[in-house]
Amino acid sequence: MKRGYQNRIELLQGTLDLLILQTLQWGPRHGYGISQAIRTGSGEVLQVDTGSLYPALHRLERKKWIKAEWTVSEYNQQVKAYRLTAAGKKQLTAERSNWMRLTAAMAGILNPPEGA
Amino acid sequence: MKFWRHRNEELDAEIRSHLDEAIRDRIARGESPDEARVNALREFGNVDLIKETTRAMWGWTTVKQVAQDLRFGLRMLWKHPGFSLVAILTLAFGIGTNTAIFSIVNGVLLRPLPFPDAERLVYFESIKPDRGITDGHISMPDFIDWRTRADAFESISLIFVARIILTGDNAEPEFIPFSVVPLNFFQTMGVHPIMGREFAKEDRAKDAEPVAIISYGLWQRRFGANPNVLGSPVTLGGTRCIIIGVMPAGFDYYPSKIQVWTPLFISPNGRRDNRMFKAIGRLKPWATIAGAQSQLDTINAQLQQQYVETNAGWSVRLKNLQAWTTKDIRTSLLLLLGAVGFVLLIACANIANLLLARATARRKEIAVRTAIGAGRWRIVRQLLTESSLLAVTGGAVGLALSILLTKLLIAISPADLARLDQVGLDARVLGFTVGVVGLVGLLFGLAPALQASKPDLNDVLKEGGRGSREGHGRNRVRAILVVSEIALSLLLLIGAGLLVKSFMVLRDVNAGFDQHNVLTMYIGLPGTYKAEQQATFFRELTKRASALPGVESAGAATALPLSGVNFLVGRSFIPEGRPLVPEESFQSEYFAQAGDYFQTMRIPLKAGRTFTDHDTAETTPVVVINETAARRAFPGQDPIGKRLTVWRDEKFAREIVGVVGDVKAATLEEETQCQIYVPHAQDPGWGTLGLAVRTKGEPEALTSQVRGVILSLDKDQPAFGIKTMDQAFSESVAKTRLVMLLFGVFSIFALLLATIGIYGVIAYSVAQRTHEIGIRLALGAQARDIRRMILTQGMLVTLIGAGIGLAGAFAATRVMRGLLYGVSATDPLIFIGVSLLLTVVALLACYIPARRATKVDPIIALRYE
Repeated sequence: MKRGYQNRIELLQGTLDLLILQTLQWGPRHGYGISQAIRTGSGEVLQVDTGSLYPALHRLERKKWIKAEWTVSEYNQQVKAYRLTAAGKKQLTAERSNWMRLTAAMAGILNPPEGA
Repeated sequence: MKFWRHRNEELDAEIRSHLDEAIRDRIARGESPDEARVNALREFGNVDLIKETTRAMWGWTTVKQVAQDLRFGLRMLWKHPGFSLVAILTLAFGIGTNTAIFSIVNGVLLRPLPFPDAERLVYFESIKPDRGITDGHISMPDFIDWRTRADAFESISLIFVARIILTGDNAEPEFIPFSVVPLNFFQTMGVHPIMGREFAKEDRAKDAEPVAIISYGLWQRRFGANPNVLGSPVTLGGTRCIIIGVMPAGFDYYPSKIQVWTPLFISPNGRRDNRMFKAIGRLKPWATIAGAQSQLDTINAQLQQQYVETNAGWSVRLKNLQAWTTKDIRTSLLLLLGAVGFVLLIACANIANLLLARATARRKEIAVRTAIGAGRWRIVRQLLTESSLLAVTGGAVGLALSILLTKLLIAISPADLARLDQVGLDARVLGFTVGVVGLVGLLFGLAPALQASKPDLNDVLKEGGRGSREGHGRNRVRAILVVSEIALSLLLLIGAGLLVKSFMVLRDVNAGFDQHNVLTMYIGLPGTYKAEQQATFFRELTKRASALPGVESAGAATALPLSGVNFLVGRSFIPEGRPLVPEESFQSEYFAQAGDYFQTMRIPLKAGRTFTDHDTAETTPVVVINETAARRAFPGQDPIGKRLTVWRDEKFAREIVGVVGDVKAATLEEETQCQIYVPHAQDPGWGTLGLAVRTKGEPEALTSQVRGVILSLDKDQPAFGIKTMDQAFSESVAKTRLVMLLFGVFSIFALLLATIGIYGVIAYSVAQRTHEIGIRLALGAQARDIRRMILTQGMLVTLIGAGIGLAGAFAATRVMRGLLYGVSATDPLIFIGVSLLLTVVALLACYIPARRATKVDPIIALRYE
């Protein structure tokens, strides 16, 4: 069972990292908030697995791309909110351009020019 | 740890807040609180597993999990004390014996000799293959040729080794090993006096005082470690020498506890056939033994042609000094190391089997852990931690045990074994033990762990833990383990059988004399004695000794039987009237004897007479030969009255007056050689003789009286090597016996373990098949059938193992050939006998569970499920 989770993490790792960093671009959010933001932002297409989300958050934190701090939520509850760091912003830019190149390349293969 | 708790609490809080918000959102969307809670939890997933995966990101988990595994492992060991104790003790014995034997191998074979760049030191084995001389002596002119013409050597040093009488002002006279060495000897060895100086050219001057360098041991013992010992006199063989140096401790063991060195001056005027030296060389840093060897071969080939008379057939084989020093014991040690290695493997197989059985019992526990989210690797790691704990505990106990075992081994080893003083615990031994511990931990832990980590969850959880259909794979692993145990232990048992048989052959070998009730000691007269005085001394000595009360007779000879020294003389006698043809010249062992030697040793007289007091320097020269000499020199003739020219006296021939039985002169193993005896009175040049006294009662009781006789003849005359012939006999088989005993103990232990192994496997399989056996019995099978079924199963495993073991033994026992005497390495009797023994023991081990199988009550067996 654990193996299943790990596989999905590996599959999604780069993408999930990018999604998290992208989501945090507009300000600090806690775990639940991030998952909701990705879900609504993708038009309910991307459902983030909590089993992937929290390991990813803690991994990004360890890499110092994001920083966690305890704040009080709108419902007056203690929550752990993550914020993008300077290094994280740099990483986001890099990963974004990587992603763009990758999608462009994918698109090129999937939609050959003569068919366009 | 505080930091730790903090992070865990934070993670809990984080996940709690996530769930709270999810529930709140769901309620906001219109779900009932209960619904919202259930759905949120379902959506979230396995909370504990997610926590665990998240914690893994912190980088600390490994440490944490290992600690957890260790705690759990210790608890498991504690909860099963019987299993743990058996496993740990088995391992402790296995690892302890391995460490003990390895520390001896390390000290004797691996640790370099205590000289700088010792690997560059080489020993010159002087050989003459056509005469069977494998480690002979070297002449000074040959040495000079090598030294000047072979450039692979930094230096070569001659060594003359002998014993000499050391007398001093008030102390007891002693007969000590001493060595005459050239000026460059200490340079060659790379060791220099801790006090005083080495030999110098000036010591050679005509009017120079004789000088000597003493060993650290002698300085401590005889001079009370006096710091002003330099310049003191010491009397060696009647010559007064001045002590000019003291060597450091530990230098004295080459070649055999040398205690005094005196200078040797190299002169080119020596004779090439005067071979009396040994030699050690130091290679240049770039030189190899092979390179130096080929240089010497070239030189020796030239010498053989140039000096046919003296050098034909003589050459030199270079040996690494350390390898040469340990050549007698190398094979035995490596063999024993192999044996204990096998025992450890068998022990590992047994423990692996135990663990497999236990893993089966723990299938449910493991399945539950898997079901609640433990990964496969996590389970494997847990089980490996448990087996490593066993290995480490076994290793620690084994290490302690090995210290005792090593001491014991050294205590029961013959004292003359090389380098035993070098044995001890060092980093390499510890490293070896740690390596072995790691290896065995993996070896017996891995298979059970891998097997246990992939249970079929549904099966296990459903059937309530009682495995009626256990996988065939697991049984196959157990069977393979037992097959290899049996194969290995058969291999060891055959090896032990060969050694035991060899020892028995050796012990019962007809040595040619009666070793009981004989006291022996050596007397070496100093150079101040003239030849005739020596003859008188030994005649008087044997006469007075035989007159002592309690003494039957006394005799003396230049070498007593089983002295370990091969006094083999080439071209030693020629039957009179035959031309000197090199191929026909007889090599023999040569003895000068005094008193009633043959009678004292009870060497049987086969024809003619032995010597009497009337055989003196003035009467007809006579000789007594042994049966082998009679047969070889005078086939089909009566040798009595025939004449021989003996090597000592080229000018005249001796009349053969008697033929005596063959005697094992040097060792029990040696092939019987021609032996010739002359009266000491007619060849009195020998100053060192062994005295043998046949007593009516205990020989030791007469020691002081016999020494009294010696002192009454010369108050400065020590005796050395005092022992009974019985002792000499058991010393000469001591090494063989020790190797045999150790090998025997190890192989019996192997057999025991293998027996336990096969018993365990069969018993386990019977327990597994209770249900099946119950059905068979219910359907009318007889107890006999059940018993046969179980025994067949056991026999199959045994026979496969024995087959493999036999094949292995055929291939492997050849390495023992050098250790066997009078037994072929593939002795069919031993091979068949030992295999039968093993089979019978294995059958017995299977019989117990087979009997139990027949006692199965079908009703109970069937109702159980």
